[in-house]
Amino acid sequence: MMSSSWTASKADTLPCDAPGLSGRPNSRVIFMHTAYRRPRPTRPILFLAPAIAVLAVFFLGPILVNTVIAFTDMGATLQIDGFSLGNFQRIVQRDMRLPGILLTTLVYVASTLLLFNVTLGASLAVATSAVPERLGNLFRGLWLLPRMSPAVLYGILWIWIVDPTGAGLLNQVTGALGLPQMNLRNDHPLMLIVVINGVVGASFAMIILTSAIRSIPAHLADAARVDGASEWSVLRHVTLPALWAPVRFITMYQVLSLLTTYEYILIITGGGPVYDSTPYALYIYRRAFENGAYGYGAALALGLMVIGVVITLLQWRLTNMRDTFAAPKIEVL
Amino acid sequence: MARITLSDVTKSWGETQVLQPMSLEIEDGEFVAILGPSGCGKSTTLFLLAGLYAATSGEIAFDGHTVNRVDARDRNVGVVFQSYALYPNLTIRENIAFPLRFQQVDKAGVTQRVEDAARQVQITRLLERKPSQLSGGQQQRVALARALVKEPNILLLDEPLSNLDATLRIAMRSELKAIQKRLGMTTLLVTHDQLEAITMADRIICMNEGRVVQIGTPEDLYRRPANLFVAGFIGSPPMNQLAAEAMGHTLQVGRMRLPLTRALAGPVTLGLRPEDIRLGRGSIAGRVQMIEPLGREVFYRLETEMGPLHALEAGEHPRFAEGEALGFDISNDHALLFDGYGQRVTDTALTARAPLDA
Repeated sequence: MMSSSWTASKADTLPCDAPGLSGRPNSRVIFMHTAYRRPRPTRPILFLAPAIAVLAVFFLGPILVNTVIAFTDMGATLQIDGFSLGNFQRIVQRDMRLPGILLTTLVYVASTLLLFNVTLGASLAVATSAVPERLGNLFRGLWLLPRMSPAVLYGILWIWIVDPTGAGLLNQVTGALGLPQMNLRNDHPLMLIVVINGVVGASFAMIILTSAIRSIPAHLADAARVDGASEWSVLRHVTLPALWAPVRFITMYQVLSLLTTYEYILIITGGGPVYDSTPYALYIYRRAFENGAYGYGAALALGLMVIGVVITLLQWRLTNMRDTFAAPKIEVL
Repeated sequence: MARITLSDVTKSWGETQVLQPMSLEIEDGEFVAILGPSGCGKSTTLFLLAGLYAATSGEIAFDGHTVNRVDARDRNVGVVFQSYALYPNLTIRENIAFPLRFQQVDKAGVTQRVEDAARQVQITRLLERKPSQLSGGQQQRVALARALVKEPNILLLDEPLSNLDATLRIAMRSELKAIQKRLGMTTLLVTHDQLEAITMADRIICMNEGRVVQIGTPEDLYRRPANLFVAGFIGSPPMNQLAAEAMGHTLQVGRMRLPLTRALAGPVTLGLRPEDIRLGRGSIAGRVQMIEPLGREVFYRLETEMGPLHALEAGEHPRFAEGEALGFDISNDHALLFDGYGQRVTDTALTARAPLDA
């Protein structure tokens, strides 16, 4: 092997031995090629096939079908009379509800995200990490319960809590305190759906940020204490900086999640009164299935997709998301 | 600068007592090493002094003032952690300046002191980088600068050299010692490396299983170890330990009999440092089994009348061949006897170089 590699490198330095110049196959050069043959490239498509198949059937297919329907006037009878841009015209020019719906969506997503999914979640993570471990685990487990139980069950509990009669939990409390009875579903529906989603949504950040806090080396906090930091300064200078990267991810993920899910809202307020607590995703549902306008619903759904993609790309750019990804540990083709 | 006093200090985690009652005094400006195997309580002692752990009982005092109830942040100690514990989100400059955030230092003063500290450990070029961009050796210097910048009364070093490669470790050893002498602050070094302790410290506290085994100068511990643990822990290659039987004024070691200055009875251990075995000049018979040239010294494995022995001799080339028979004697001044409990017997010694007739 030693001598063959030596002759091979020698051959490289002599221009007349190069196959392109001599025009004849050169035995030494051929030998070099066989000796240094690269491993045959694997076929990535074979490895990706299962994932691609799932994506095609459950994601790309429906998007395609939805896109086609968006150009029709399909209604509850599933009859299609022809293709047109009518639905899109209606979105841009004639849907009087839409500006209000978009505002509701903005308020709902932004306040749920900032107040609950990030701030409350981070507070819960910090608090449950500070108490003895078993107590912290128990508390986090309890807070996860609504996420693990069926949405309908959680919804019914809230319906009981905010029941406008004296039987509602909230009104039992206000009654005991001598305060007037409240009807949150009617008077503050938007606030109510923010709270309802936020209480469940905070558990996501709570779990992820708890593990982020646990991955901070213990000596870092010790070093800060020795350096003169109070517990508050340790939180500010050691704990919070470590949460920035996961918070970026949580924000991006939860924005999409909040934009597209509506089951609690549908169960508890039904989007009402009228459209007061109807964010965009629920609006699509109500248009398509309550009004029986499938074609129009599909067009609205395409709009939601565009909004989701634009917001994600913006966040990706603004928060420098690429930074948080590590290079792969193995060589990828 | 401060004098440290520990009086009957203990530490327990729940039911487990990790530190047996510990009393010691460290003088102002002294460089003391706590040496022991992992789990012996040496780091626990360090963190007790730093104020990161609370003592279960006993009293810790700096300059005569009890500090048991003083928070870590008010003790004015500088700590270099084994992992260096640099703040990953801050630049080197901000890392070093971090302790000054909590003191009343104006902006110009901070810059001045950070640069002074950086100069002490020669990292002025690196101030604008992040910790992740630094090598282990550089990170270690930053950690030291951060500990020095607040001009602490006491400097605590927790295995500061253990993550460095061999060459860098030797360089940092003398550098750390030079910095300590220059600044004159009371310094406590925790290490499991006997060479580190011997080369750097004025005094060594040797610990095992949560208790102090011996306190003394490096020479004390090397030449006059209190017991077999210290004898075996200090010195490389380690001390030869030969099982022997004392019978009045004679000591039976293997097939050899050696005279004792005072009568002794029962099983004992004879301790011989490899360099105290003088090859080719005595009447004890042996044979060379294996030779390991170490550069400036040669290490011999011998099979002898006394049992298997390791010997170390200065010189680049072996004077004996493998398999060669040779005679040797031992330096009586340095032969150590340990009783059945492993404690060193101090009031008796071997008397003569020449062995008794077998």
